[in-house]
Parts: sequence; C-alpha cells; structure tokens
Amino acid sequence: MNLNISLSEFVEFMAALSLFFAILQTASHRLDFAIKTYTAQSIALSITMFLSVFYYFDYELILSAVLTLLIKGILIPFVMKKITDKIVEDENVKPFINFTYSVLICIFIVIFSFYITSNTFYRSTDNGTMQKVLAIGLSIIFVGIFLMLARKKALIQIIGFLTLENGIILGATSTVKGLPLIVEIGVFFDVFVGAIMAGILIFHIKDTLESIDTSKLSDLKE
Amino acid sequence: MFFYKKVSKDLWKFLEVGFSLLYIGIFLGCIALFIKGDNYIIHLNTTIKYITYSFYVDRLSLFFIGIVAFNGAINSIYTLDYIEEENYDKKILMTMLKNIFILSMILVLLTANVFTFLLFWEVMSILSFFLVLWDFKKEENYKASLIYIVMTHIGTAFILLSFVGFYINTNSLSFDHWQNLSLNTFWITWIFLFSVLGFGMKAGIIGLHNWLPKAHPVAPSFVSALMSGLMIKMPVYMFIRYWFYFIKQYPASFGLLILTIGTITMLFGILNASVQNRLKAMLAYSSMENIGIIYVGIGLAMVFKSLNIEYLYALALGASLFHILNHSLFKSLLFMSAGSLMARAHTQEIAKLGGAIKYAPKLGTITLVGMLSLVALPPFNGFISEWLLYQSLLLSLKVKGYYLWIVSPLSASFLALTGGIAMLSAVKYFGLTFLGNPRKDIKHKEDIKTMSLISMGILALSCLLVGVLPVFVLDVINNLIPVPIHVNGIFEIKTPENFGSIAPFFIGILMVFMLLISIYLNKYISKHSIYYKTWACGQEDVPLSAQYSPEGFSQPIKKITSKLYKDGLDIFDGIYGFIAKSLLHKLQTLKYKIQPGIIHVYILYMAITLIILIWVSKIYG
Amino acid sequence: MGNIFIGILQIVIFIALAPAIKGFIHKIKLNLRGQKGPSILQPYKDLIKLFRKEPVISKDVSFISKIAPIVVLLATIISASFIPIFSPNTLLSFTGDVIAFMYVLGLSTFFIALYGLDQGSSFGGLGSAREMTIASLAEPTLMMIMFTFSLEYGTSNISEIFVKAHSHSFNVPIAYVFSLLALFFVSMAENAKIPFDNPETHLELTMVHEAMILEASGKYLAIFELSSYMKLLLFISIASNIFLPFLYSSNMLLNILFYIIKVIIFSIPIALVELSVAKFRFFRIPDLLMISFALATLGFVLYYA
Repeated sequence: MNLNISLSEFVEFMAALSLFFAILQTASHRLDFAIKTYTAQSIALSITMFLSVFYYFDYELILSAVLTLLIKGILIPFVMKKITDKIVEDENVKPFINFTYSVLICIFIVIFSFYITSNTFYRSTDNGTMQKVLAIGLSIIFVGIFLMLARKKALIQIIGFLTLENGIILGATSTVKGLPLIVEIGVFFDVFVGAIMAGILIFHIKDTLESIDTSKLSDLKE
Repeated sequence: MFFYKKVSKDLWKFLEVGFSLLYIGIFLGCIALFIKGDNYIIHLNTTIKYITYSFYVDRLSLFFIGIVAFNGAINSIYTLDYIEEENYDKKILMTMLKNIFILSMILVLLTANVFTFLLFWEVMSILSFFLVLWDFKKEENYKASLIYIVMTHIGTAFILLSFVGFYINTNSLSFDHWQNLSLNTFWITWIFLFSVLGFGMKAGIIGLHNWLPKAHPVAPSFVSALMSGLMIKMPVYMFIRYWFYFIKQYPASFGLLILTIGTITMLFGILNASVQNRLKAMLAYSSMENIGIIYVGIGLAMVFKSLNIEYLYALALGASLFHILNHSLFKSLLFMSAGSLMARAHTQEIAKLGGAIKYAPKLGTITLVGMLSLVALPPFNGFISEWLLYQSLLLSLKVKGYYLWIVSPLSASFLALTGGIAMLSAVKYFGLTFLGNPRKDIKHKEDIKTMSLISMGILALSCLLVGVLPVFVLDVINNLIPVPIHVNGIFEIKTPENFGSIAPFFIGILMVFMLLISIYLNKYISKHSIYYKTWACGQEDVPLSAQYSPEGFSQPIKKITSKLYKDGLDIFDGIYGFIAKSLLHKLQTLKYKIQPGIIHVYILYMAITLIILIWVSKIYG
Repeated sequence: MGNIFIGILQIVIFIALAPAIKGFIHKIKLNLRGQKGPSILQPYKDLIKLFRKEPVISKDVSFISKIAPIVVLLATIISASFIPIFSPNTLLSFTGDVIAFMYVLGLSTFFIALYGLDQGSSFGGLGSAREMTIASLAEPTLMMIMFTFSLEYGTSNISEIFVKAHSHSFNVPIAYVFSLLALFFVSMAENAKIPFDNPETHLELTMVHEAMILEASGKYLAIFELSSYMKLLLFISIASNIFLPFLYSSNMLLNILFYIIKVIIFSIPIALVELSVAKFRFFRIPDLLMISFALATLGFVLYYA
C-alpha cells in the first residue's frame, strides 16, 4: 500500500479539520473552550489557504493566509480572552437547543451543503476538490449562523459571527482563488474593529443590564 | 338439557379448534397454489349492475395470505387458553368476532376490485374496533377505540380518493385493468399523496400513528397480536401493489420521500418505546418502528425501480417482504406472552411486575427468544431481514448520479441507532418484568399452560428456524421479485457483486454449541457455589421496590432526547389536540350563529330553500 | 484444513494476548503518573486467582445469571473469529460481514445488561441503563465507519477488506484520519475507559460497566474480565488492521510480531487520553458520542462526495 497523499487531498483535509473545529464549538460547554476552538479553526483555515497557494499558483494567497493567521488566529482570540476574563462570571454557555441536538443539526447542515453544491461543478477537472472545499465553506457559514441562533450569551454569538466570516473566506478561496487583496485587508480590519467594538459594547451591556444573556432583551418589549 | 349446557359452555372451544383447522387448511392450500404458480381471478356478478365481487390470487397475495393463516391458526390455539385465563364473558361472541376478523383480512388480500376491497376493509376495521372496545366500561378503552375508528375512516376516505385517481385514468373499477399503467405527473402525484396518507394512517407512519399506541395496549392481548402482526401489514400489501404492480413509471423522488418517512417513523417509534412503562404500549411503539423499517425498504425499492436498477430493487423489496414475515412472527409472540403475563398479574405496569421468570420459566424463555428476535440479534430471524436491508442501503451508494448517497448512510446510521435503542427497550422490558424480584405481590404465580406453550413455542421455534435457515423463506421470496437474491446451497446468502455474504447456519450452530457449553459448564460451576443475599451496601431488608424502576431505566435516554415527550404524551398528540380544540372552538361559534334558537330564522331558511328550488326548476325546466 | 488451523491459531493468540494488552495500558498509565505499577503479566495472575475461587451467587437470580457470562465470552470469541489478526484466513471468514460483527457484539452487550438486572439490586439496574444508553448512541458512529471502509474497498466482508488494504496498489485516503478518530472515541466508549467510565472506582457516581458485574465473583467474574479484555483488543485490532495497513509480510511469524507492534502503537494513545482527562459527567457523554458521529460523517463525506 502506498502513502501518497496528493496536495488536493491535504487541502480538503485541512478544510475539513476547520469544519470539525467549528462543529466542536457548537458542543462546547464553556466560553474559553469555544475561544480555543475558534483559534484552532482559524489556524486550520490559514494552513488551508497557505497550501492552496501551491494548488492554484496564486501568490497573493500567501498574504491572505498570513493575515488570517495573525488577525483571526492570534489577535482576535486574545481580545476575546481579555473580555471574557473581565466580565464573565458564569462560564457556562446556555443553549437554546441542547448540545446533542446541536451536533446532530450540524451534521445535517454538512450533508445539506454537500447536496447544494453537488451539481454545480463539472467534476472531472480537478477531482472534486473545489466542490468539496466550497461545500465545507458553506457548511462553516451555516454552522456559524446556527451558533448565533441557538445560544443565549452574546459572546458565543460573536464567535458565531466570526465563524461565518471564516466560512466566507474559505468559500472564496476555493472558487475564485481568493478575494482581491485590498478587499480582504479591508474585511479583516472591519472584522477586527467589529470584534473590539462588540467587546466594548458587551462590557457596557453588562454594566447597565447586569447580564449578557440576549434572551433577556425581550424583557424590554412592552 | 345438561348436555346442551355443557356443550354451550365449551362451544367456543370447538369453534376455535374448527377455525384453526380451517386456517391450517388455508395455509396448506397457499403453499400448494404457490408452488403451482398460476394466477387466478374470479368474478361473481350480482343483480345490481356495478357491484361485482372479484377475487384475484397471485403469488404476492398468496405470500401474505400464508402469513395471515399461519398466525391466525397459532392465535386460535393461544386463545383457547387465554380466554379461560382472563375469564371473559360472552366467549362465543369474542371467538366469532375474532375469527371473522381474520377471515376478513384474508378476503382483503384476495380482492380484485374497488367494491370488494372497500367492503372487506370496512368489515376488518369495524370488527377490530369492536374487539378493541371489548372492555368498554373503562374510559381509556372508550377514548382509544373512538380515536381508532375515526382515524381508520379518514384513512379509508383517502384511499377512496386514490381509487378515484385510478378510475379517472382507466375508467374501470377492477384491479386487473390497472396493471402497468403509465400516468401523467398530476395523477401520479395525486395517487401518491392519497395512498401515502390513506395507507399510512392504517399502517401507523409518523404523524398518522396516533391510534396505534392507544388502541394496542387496551385491546385484549390476542387482538393486539393480530392487529400488530397482521392488520398493519394490509396497507403495506396494497402499497406494494400500487407502486410495484399497478403503476409502471414514477419519479425517483417519491421513493426518497418514502425512505425519509420510514427513517423518521423508525426513530420516533423506538424513542417513544424506550420511555413507556407499560408492557403493551412499548410493544405498540415497537410495531411503529418496524413499520418504519419496512417503509425504508419499500422506499429504496421504489427508487431503484424508477431508476431501472433491477437487482437492487429486488434486494430492497425482498428485505421488506422478509421483514414483514419476521415481524408478524415475533410481534405476535411478544403480544401473546405479554397477555399471558397480564392474565396472571392483572396489570400492565412494569413498576408492579418483576421476577416472573422464577414462577414462569417457560414463559420467560419464550419471551427472551421473542426479544432477541425483536432486537435483530443473530441467530434469530430479525437479524436476517435487517442484514438484507443494510446491504441494500450499502449497495445503493454505488448508484452514482442521484441523491441517494445523501440519505442512505444517514438512514443506515439511524437504523443502527434504532437497533441500539431497541436493545435498551428490550433489556428494560425483559429485565424489569422477568428478572429480579416481584415489586408487588402477585396472586396467580403459575407457569403457562399447554395450549399457550404449544402456540408460543411454535412461534419461537419458527423464529429460530427462519434465523438459522433463512434460505427456505428466501426461496419463497425469490419468486416475488424480478431478480433472485443469490443463495448458495442452503447455507449462504450472497448479495449482488459479491458485496457481502453471511452464512447464518454456521453462526447458529456456533451459538447452539455455545449454549450447550454454557449449560454444561454451569452444572460444574454451580456445584461449588455459595448462595447469599444480593449486596445492598450493607443494608438489611432493602424493600423490593428499591430495585431499579422503569422510569429510572429510561431516564438517561429521556433526558437526552428531552423535547420529544411531554408528560407521557407524544408530541403529535399535543399538536393534533391543539388543532382539534381550536377548530372545534371556531366551529362551535359558527354553529351558534347558524342555529340560534329563534324560530323565525328557521322559517326563513325554509322559505329561502323553497325559493331557490322554484328558481332552479324554472331555469332547467 | 490448513486454513482452519490458522483460524484457530489466530483466536488462540488473540485470547492469549488480551490480558497482556490490558496490563500494558495499566502499566503505562501508572508509570506516567510516577508510580511503579504492577507487572504487565498481572492480569493473567488475577484471572488464574479468580478461576480458582468458588462463586457466591445471589439468591435472587434466575438461570440468566448462570448462562450470561459464558454467552458474553463466547459471543466475544465469535466476533474475534471474524477479525483477521495476521492472516485473512479466519475461522469464519466466509461469513464475516461487518454488520454481522457489530450485531454479534451487540449480543454480548445485551446479555451483560440482562445480567446486571438479574441481580435484583439497584446497582445492576443503574449500570444496565447507562451502558445501554452509551452503547446505543455509539452504534450510528460504528455503522458510518463501517460504511466508509466498506465502500472504499467494495466489499463488506472483513477478510477481503484486510486483503485489499494490504495489497500494494492501495492509496490510503487522508480522510481516514477522521474515521480513525471516530473509531477511537467509540472504542473508549464501548470499553469502559475514562472519560466514559471509570472501572477502578466502585462508586455509583462513576461506574457503568463495573455496576453490571458487581455481583459476579469467582469464576464468573474471571469470565467477565476476560471478555472485557478481549473486547478492548478487538477494537484495537480493527483499528490497526484496517487503518494502519503497513508492516505486512508473507511470513507468518513476522506478521505476529508486526501485529503486536501495531497493537502497542495503538494502546499508547488510549493510555494517554485516560490520563489527561477526568471522567465526564454522564450527560456530557452523548455530546461526545455525537461529536464522534460528526467525525465519522465528515470522514465519509470527504471520501465519497
């Protein structure tokens, strides 16, 4: 038996690893575990982008990969960690949909996104890698949306939003060989600033309303 | 005078024996006709023009009639003991109702036109309603049978609508003019929708299953055995007729839909079965699960037929037909054993039972055989049909270019999950009822009598035989499907493309060997054993109710799948109850508006009707 | 005839090796904790000691308690005779289907759960309820893994899978990492390892497998212990023979050596995971099992889609 692993298989594997970490986020019981998993997911994503440079021969992607690693792999988790340390007393994630069902729904999401992308590409050109990575990107997007829907605490919802961003970048890398670099840098800075502002907002919400449980926002309704 | 009284007291026994001989005769006749292999059709005209009785015999109906006759005969033998143990009054009425019920099922399988079908279907439904309602003084029975009869009739209405679809396209009411039709999309969708709703309501698929877990626990046990083992297969027979004999070409998405419905039914059924605390309620939900498994097979076969892949269509349909046979065998066995236990303990609640294997070891062993078949463990029969179904699910992934690869592996994983939860329910049922110590004291602690032993023993033995030598049943089924499932000698079953093979005979031999070794070794070990109390952390006199309870046993699974149950009710009961209540409320307010007590309004209605009649007669006059 | 001899030899080596692997895992765990630990051959000595003792049987039992231990042992041996250890000629290779394998293992789980309930104590019921829940939630993962490698090799017969995996023209897809991780999780769940179960303590808070066999003593306990050692080796063998198809030669003695090396390689992660996490609270176990199902699905989808 042979151990030849072709480059495309490795790219798919890294993308799937990123998806796995996203699914692991939905099953995390504590906030800091979710942040660590998000870090791992971003690192896997940046490795995917780095490898796909050799696949697509587009050297701009190296810069995107490094940027993803720096901002999403190091800076944003650092900021999130600081926020968590300051304001959160109860570390537990409160779910709307319990964890077992969440993972099951994520499995259905994965299969659904593979179904959606199944006839979109003419397969024999590149052994189906592009289709698979696009499907994985789409699943990460939906998992991010699901995370925002199914959890009560605002921090987890921010992490869901960041996962959504990750999925969009992965989808973009697979199909159009990455967004133009200017656009990507812009998006990155927006996301970074957004995360910091969300953190500040959460701090203020916690100060005024004494809780960051977004389901309590419905108390404001008359 | 004395002779007359003695005879009329035991007349029901003579009737039962007579009917069981009739069923054995029918069974042997089926075998003879099956071997011969011709199709017969009989028309009996009556004086009214559109009413003809037509009967049609071909191999598929002979297969089902054979199952019904075999189970009917064994049920009659069992009833000889059961009616005496439960001491029902009006025994002759019960006997006659039950036997006409079985005969009506056989006649449903023979029908060949719409009128005959509806007649015997209605007879079957009404007789089963009377039998379920036997103990009408209890309110629970009354409510359950009411829901049952209403849902059956709604189902019959849907079936009628699907017959309308056929009639419009072929202008005939006779089934033999309906063979191999090609219809346009609108009519095919119409027939599909109404056949799924109509036959599904009788079979008990998800959303339409509400009557099943209510009617089965309250009926007398031999009636539940007949209903679960045989009656819910009648709509499956008609469904197979529709989609494999009547209609030739249909989109593959229909099959996928049936596959999905089957998977969801299966999961829902077994999850609910694991949290039931009454014996027959758990068995009723387990019937729902098995119907789901049968529908998974039928859905797969429909997909393959529409894609014209004959060998896989044969494998999936063969798996379903085998499972129909197996389910009727072990489910009848389990309901009968539950009935015997209930006749002794006078309660269904597992929380009041326990330790039955000590005073009824034969009943315990037979129930253990039934439970092992239910959970599809080798070497019993459930394993063979589930193996065939898994193989068809695996092979379906070789069909490229269609969306089956999305649904099949999930379906197979959920089939494995239901197998696991079925094991949980079986351990709970058998372990808490038969093992341990009795939780409340039971008066009639005696083992089962001869007739029960013979009937249940024959079923248990046939479960084992079909499991170890399935090739005989497969030879029968191979005549019903286009491409035979490959059987190597009498030992081995092979699936197409040599994908998988099992030889259940050898596994069975090894297991019998293992049982014998265990019995022998035990005699040796037990000679040198000490007997002592069970360890209870050093406490003395632990009360017997401190053993594990049924709610406690299913508490982990209940907590994990928490949203599906609400205070012991199914979620569908909640949904339908809510819809029914709000609809009823609106209709009641409407009623008060149309029918106020004011007499002037009623006179106004009469006047308006008269005016309209005169006007209409002027226009058409 | 030679094939039957090889088949019997495989089973004999399997049964002989099983307690040693358990002893090996235990020794690694204790060494990494800083203790010296008993020797690797200690489980053999335990089994011999238990076989010599007479069992104490509870007064509440029925015949189930007397046949269940041996049924469990022999069901495990029958499933072991499906798995090729160093040669594809196993005793039941002509009927060795992956699904039959799973269901025969299910037979052993069923009877051990019945044994737990037969004792008439609340410990047994507790253990049976928990064990059946864990086993049923682990089933879909196992089925998905079986699906993945059945499709990969085009057959569901285990011996033929073994032959094809070890042939020289076969490329290991990297999606196997996911299936291997899923199999790892399921093995930990089915074999009563931390984080699913802690068989070293006998507290009702932590035990699942031990609760069912709490009343067993003497020869019956020896039979139960041997079956659990064999079940662990069974899962490790599947992982090593199907997922790590390296190190294969046509010389039989060399194959036995390679098999032992592969089993040792796979035991080390088990020991490491057991050391690094604590036993999870029972209601976190379904989440873990669902994650393993997600891993198995990912492995399948990556390979197949």
